[in-house]
Amino acid sequence: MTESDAALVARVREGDAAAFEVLVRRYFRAAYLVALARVGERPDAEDVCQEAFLRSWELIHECRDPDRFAAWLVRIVRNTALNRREYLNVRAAVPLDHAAPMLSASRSDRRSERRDLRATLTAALAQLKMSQRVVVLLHDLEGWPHSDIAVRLGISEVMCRRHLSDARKRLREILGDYSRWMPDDR
Amino acid sequence: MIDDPDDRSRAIDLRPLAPDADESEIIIGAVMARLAGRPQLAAMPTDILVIVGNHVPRAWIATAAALMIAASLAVVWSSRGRPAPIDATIATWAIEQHVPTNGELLLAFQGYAR
Repeated sequence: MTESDAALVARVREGDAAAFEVLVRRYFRAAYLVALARVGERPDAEDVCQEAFLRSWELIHECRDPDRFAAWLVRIVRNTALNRREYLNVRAAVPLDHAAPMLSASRSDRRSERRDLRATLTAALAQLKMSQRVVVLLHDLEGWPHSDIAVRLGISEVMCRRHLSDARKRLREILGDYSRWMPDDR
Repeated sequence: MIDDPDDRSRAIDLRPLAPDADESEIIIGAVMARLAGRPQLAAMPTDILVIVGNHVPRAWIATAAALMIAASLAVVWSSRGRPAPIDATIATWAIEQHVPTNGELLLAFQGYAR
């Protein structure tokens, strides 16, 4: 039987790291996708995700409604991402010499193909509004129902559906016949 | 028109954006490793107004609020029509290099007592 968020939060408040790991695994993808929607780049999203989980551990006593841990976590992710974006904006003002990423010669074609797909999708997502990005990722990728997304993002279900519809429409316009790019086996 | 949320055929396949199992394990492992030795912060006290509201009789709060409003009104009322503060007047004279007359001095200091 799956332990409820509230029960896990209660254990985390006792300092139970194992309970916290259950929560991290339960909401990792959602947190990551919210971060990705906010900051746009995967390495930044990973950093934001880590920082947000660490903040949630530190601030767990401030989670006033443990049954809604996910909504509380999403708020932390959003705030962390916001700080990260501000930092990135400052950093972007200063020209930096970026070293070319180290690519392993042994990387498989499939990894390369996946990386290309990611780049294509990331560029397409970047053209959506922030709220559209978050909703389409949580709904279409993470499988959250509109009711959950609405509660966890603090928006109405109607608005959530609107964002999803607009996001899908825009992505189809940008990506065209996207399916032809998809690898056979993912 | 809004997409039917159950119509998955309308959805774009975004799976390449999600971290794969290996990437997820790396990030989760990093979180758990960084957690070690990191303390949890004590719960912040709830809003000060809530604390006060829970421990002080409402009649006292109402009385205190009324007194504060009355005091504020008294301060505002008493400041009406008061001449400019003396420091500002002297500063203005200094800036303008103005030598005040006896009358101006008397007015500024409000008589011989000061």
